[in-house]
Amino acid sequence: MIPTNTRAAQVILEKLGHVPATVHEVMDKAVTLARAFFEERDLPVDPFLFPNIVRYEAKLLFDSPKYRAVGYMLSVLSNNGLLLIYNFESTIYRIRVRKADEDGAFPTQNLSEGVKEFCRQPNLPLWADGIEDWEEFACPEILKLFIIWDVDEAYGFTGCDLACTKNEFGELAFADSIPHSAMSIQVENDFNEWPTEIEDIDFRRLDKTGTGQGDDGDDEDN
Amino acid sequence: MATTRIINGDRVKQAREIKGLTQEELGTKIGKSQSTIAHLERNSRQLLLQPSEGVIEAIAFETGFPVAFFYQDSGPEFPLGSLLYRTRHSILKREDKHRFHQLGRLIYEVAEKMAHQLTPLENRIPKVVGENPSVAARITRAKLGLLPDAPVRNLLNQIEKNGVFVFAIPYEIDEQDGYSCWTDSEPPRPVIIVTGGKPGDRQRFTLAHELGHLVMHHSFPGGLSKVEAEADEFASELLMPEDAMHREIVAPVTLTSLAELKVRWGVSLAALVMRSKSLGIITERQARYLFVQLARWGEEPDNLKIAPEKPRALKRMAELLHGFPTDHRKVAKHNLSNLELISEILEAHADKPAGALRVAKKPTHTNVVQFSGRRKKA
Repeated sequence: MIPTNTRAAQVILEKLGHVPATVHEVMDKAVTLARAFFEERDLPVDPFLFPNIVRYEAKLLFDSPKYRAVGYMLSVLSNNGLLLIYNFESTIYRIRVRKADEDGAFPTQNLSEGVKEFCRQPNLPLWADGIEDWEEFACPEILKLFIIWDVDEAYGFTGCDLACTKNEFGELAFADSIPHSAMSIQVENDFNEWPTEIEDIDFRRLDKTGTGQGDDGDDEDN
Repeated sequence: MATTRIINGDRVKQAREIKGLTQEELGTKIGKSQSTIAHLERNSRQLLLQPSEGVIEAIAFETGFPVAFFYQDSGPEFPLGSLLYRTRHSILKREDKHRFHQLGRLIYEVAEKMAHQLTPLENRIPKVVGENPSVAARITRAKLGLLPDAPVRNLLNQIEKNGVFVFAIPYEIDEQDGYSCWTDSEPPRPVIIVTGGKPGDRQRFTLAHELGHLVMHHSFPGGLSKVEAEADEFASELLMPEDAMHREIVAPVTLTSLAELKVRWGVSLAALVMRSKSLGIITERQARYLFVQLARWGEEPDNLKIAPEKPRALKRMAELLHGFPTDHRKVAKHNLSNLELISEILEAHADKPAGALRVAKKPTHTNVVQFSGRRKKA
């Protein structure tokens, strides 16, 4: 997806907290499970069935306690459509999770009336363009967003994008890629540092009898 | 009557190779031919006419070693060990191989001199013959006092405390992470040499791999690729025990789920993918998908990078014998060596960790630090 008004997208990504990384992680797992569905049956991937299995697996994962703890509500739409509702500050974020079109772009063909309605945000042009101080800006009461997932030609997961539309034609107000969920994992800084209770290497200076004389040696050159 | 001091050609060769110079390059620098350098290195002890002081001074100037360095004996033997066959399979340049070996030999000589004035470390590294690598790794864990299926933090420190001399070369050498050998001393001493500039998880795998050579490969007959594969299997079992991996790697396996394991077990994502595949937790095809995703990153992101560990023993010995903080000039002088190089080598080794106890009172078997437990209060 072509990044659009990325500064706005980054501000919204931040406001969504752990939700974007969670969606990324869930969709990665769902794609892996969908691939496994065909692999276990020794069948080639069916391009029509594949996204349905992804959505179904994603629904199960989104509904699991591990991910629900992030704080969204899951609403399942017709045809396994996925809608997450997340409240932050005074805004209700309604997030639809959809697959990218064949070119990896925001899907604008054959949109249902329900999706067209979701795409319409008449109040958005007032603030989505040209506002410099995004951190200070208060979001509208309801902000409708899309998270678009995609796969490569081998059905490997390629990632997710956040997108916000202005109108029923799918014209984008802003869009940007969501960082990989592994980016939210952090190695401890002291991974290879010695714990404080560890002992130093056990060398001692030899005395004249050939045995250790203690743990500290003085400068022999003095 | 004044006695003629005899140049040791082997030392000339050592200094030249440490500097990464060919015979021709050194010859050009000092205004001599390549054949003169070759002759000097090969036959100096039999030369009827010793090279002039001026030639030796020029070599000393170009290599940074003091003149006295070239008049001393060759010091203890330092076998090529795993470097011998590793280089046959890699694209390591000949000059790099020689430099790598000569640096290891120099550090070993410095350490061996200091070790003679200190109580010896008990060597608890087992020699395992006739077992498969995974079994050898489990035996090694037990001998080192490590729990059978817990992550090993501070692997380098665990290895050092159990009697292995681990030395760091302060340079990055392409395509080469480390090598190991049992020395020809009596008793033989296990030594691992590691290069600088490598990520911590890669360094840990190298250490485990070389430890595998020390434990399993006491001679290097044919089938060199088999030997390398065995060391890899040993390292995988040592760092990612089979039982623990079956417990922890749960389908569906994604890079994110492996990243969560990486930060606990201290291994690279690629190593975890390989391990998952070799244990049959994921299929060949799933592994391929994961490698494709890894390839998109190029290298692992910064948030998943593990800092490398520094070896400690060399600096500890220097502190005991030359005072703390150690005056690098004294170490260089004692060893008739290159001050700049000695400083770089010592700097590549760890200082006494803040808050650490001074010495072990007796060997312990509580070497594993549990991740969940974090640090205890000193």
